[in-house]
Amino acid sequence: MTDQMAADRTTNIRRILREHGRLSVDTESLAVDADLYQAGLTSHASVNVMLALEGEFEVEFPDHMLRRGVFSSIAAIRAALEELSGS
Amino acid sequence: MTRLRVIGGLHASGYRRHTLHVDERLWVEKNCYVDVIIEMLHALGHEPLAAMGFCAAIDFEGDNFTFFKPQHEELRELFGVDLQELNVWRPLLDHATEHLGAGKLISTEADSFWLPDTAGTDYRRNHVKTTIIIAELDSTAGVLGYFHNASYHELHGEDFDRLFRRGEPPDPTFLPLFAELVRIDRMLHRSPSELAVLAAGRLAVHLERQPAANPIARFGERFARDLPSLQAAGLAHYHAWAFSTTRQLGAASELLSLHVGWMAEHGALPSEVAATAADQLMRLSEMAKAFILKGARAVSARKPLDASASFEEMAQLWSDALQGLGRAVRVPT
Repeated sequence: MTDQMAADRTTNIRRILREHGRLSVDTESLAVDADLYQAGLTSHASVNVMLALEGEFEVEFPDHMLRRGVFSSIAAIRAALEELSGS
Repeated sequence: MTRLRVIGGLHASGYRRHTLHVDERLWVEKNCYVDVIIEMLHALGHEPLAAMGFCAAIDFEGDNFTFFKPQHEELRELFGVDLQELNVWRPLLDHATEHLGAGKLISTEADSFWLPDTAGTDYRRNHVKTTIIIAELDSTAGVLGYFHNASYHELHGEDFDRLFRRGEPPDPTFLPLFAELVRIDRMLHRSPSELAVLAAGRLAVHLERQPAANPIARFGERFARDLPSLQAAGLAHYHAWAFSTTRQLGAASELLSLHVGWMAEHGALPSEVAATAADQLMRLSEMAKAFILKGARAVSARKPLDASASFEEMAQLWSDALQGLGRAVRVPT
């Protein structure tokens, strides 16, 4: 995956968090390794974030990825998506 | 009026949650009632893990899993903390002033709309009933210290006025919220080992109360029947359904897992028995977590979902864990 593709993926994750995460902070200024739960992500909102990620990236998180840690930071989400897409 | 503070040294800023509410938990928030009880006990210097045996008796009630909470009798026996219903015959603020002034806490239903700790969900957005425990009050300055969900918070200003309906004309159509008085004047601070022995006895009592038929198997059957109607009702409905069912099951399993681990740590349960049951219950809890997300996907995309194998495994894990524990504890004579 090129640097540009990685950057685009991060941008899209930030957009999804802005639209569905209901965070108490600005998603644009959020560090990639910042804890999203500390930033206000609730269990309820994390479900909506997961659904939006699956729709955006046309993937389906397998059972072993359906856990809290996978959605705990932008970096963790990006790593999970990279694992799913094999890049 | 000076500030009424029932628990010395308690401050919202820098408050340290109990380990049951740290971010590493699968279900940081369980349900509003048990969450505030956990943090209140913790702030009073007690170990709430001792009181989680009631999770063994949860049942599937069709449109709910048991909205689990510790029994009052158990809180009295273990910690000397006494809860009684408070008859709210006058404004809640008057009751709070009276009872906090006398060293008591008040547990009350409240509207999340005015609770700033729910920013991002319900604060100034949705009117949702929840439970808080009032521990600190300054009605002159309009400041309230309260336990809610997984922590301890403070609110003030308009939130204070609207929460207590201060300055509003009497409304004969407004029904008072349910409230309880928490007396802490006869608290008992037992040693961990004494507490663990008592907790093991209580767990045996709860195990005797468990439903005759496996509640998770019945939950699975009902889910298979209800999936089309859940899909028709949409995601918002699913969230409410999942909170009342899957979340309660998952959170209770995790609490029970940590409860038995704590008892083993303090010598009230054989460590091998506890480790096996704790692993089974934690696995079940993880599966419930995944199921919430899989169910959301099925509802959102209106995709079929055959969850029968997952339910079968969860039901077996529950049954095996409870049977193992049942062989290791005895009802006190």
